[in-house]
Amino acid sequence: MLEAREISKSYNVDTPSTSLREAFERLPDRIFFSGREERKRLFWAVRNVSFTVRQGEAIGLIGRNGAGKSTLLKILSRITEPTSGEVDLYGQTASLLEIGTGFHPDFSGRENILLNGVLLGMSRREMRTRANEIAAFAELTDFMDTPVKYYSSGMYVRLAFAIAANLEPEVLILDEVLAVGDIEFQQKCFTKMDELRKHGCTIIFASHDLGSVKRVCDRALLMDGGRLIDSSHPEQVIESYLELLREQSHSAVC
Amino acid sequence: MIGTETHQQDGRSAVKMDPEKKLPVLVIRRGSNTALTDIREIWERRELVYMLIWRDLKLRYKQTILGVSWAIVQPTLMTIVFAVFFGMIVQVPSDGIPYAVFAYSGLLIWSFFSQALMSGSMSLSGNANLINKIYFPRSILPLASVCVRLVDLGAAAIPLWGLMLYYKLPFTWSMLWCPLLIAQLALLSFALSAVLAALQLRFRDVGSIMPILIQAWLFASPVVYPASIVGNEWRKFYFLNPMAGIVENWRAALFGTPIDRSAMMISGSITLILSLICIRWFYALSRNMGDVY
Repeated sequence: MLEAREISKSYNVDTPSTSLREAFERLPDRIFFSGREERKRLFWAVRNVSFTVRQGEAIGLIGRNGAGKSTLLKILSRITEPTSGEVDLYGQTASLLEIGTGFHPDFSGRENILLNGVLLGMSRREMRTRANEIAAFAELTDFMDTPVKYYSSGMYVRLAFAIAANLEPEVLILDEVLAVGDIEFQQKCFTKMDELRKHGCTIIFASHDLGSVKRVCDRALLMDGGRLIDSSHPEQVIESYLELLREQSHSAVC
Repeated sequence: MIGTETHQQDGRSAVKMDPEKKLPVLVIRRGSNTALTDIREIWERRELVYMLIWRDLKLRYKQTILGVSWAIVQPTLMTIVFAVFFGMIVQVPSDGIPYAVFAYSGLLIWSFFSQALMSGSMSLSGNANLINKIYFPRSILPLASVCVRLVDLGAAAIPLWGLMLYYKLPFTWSMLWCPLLIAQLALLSFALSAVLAALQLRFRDVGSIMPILIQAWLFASPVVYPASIVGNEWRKFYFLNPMAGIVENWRAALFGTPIDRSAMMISGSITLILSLICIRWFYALSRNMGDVY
């Protein structure tokens, strides 16, 4: 289960200094104008978003590029702090924001399963007992001792998803990671997600693939400009998303 | 907008229990990660520290021919260089100990310190992809990188015992000071490399300054020469460098000469104060590390 209460996130638009010289050049500014907050131009990537996901529920997160989906997922995964607001996360969370983060090309499949699992918060013992299961799910049993640098991109995706899906977390956060696998493997992932939910796993799934949102989720959230603008049955939300896109392309033409 | 710390006393992430399902609840909010909550989390994630150490050591075996033996080869080669130029040609005194042993014992802990700083300060920027995508206490990266160097230090200590046996130097009770001094050195290395790593993410200049800084620090510490040749007018400043007290007393502990208590007190307290400052600074810098990099 997960509960987000009025979370917002702002970024400073002015790029922070990246070299010591720039930092020194800005020093007088910072000393003399530090009290003047309005000098900072803020960009609100997420504005006042509240929602609850019940245990065993899967929600899809849709919206245009730059709508704030990824920032929201980053906050839920603790990669970045919200500027204000709170999130309650119930139980262990596993988040897969990118395929194969933390994989080392020189390590074998088995070694990467161990490393990745521990990075995602599991213990080595648990990972050792699950390694064969993960390899079977990823259909990579014969390649477990091959360094992953020799894997094809499909094999890479399968391994990464198999690890996250087999952790059996209470909350699973996915950001557009299934798009790369082939249809057969995608089907397998959907089945796995259904199975996880039956065991009480809460899933949050951001995707541009509206079909898979419809397939996986009981509810969808639509974001635009950092705001949550719709939340209901996937079919309905997808309809209002398409409406939003139509409006936009219409105003672009006129 | 910021005053969100209303129903939790101090704005720290708190793990409370869900009354029905008995699942631990994690509260995420601004300022929820502090040094104190991190210590608990580092302990919970100690397997990750272990895995990162394992990754580094294993990679070295996969990518280099000598593997971990480099830990021994490096200080040995440096000792040969200094033994030839400082020991034989310039004839730097070495407090009555054979110069080779004298230099090796100093270079042993110096290479730990310098390599811990070098690799520790790169530990965040070298793992930027992890910081961006997976959450774990950020301090685990410099911590693991210092631990890897401790393993190296253990390996590099073996030739030292060999040298001491060869030169028939006695093993004494004062060697019991050694673990304490190593602990102090490890704390100093961790705190400094954590802050340097966080600065390195912001200012890539840090990487360029480091080698020069470490070189200067080597000559400011009694590594390849004894502290006894430092003139009296400089002595009180000399020991403000925490490394001076560590290296000098490390040798005293190894070779059974009297421990310099005042140097130990000074370097001990400076290490503590400096480490606290560095760790606080690290948390100030690490607040939104996952955003920008």
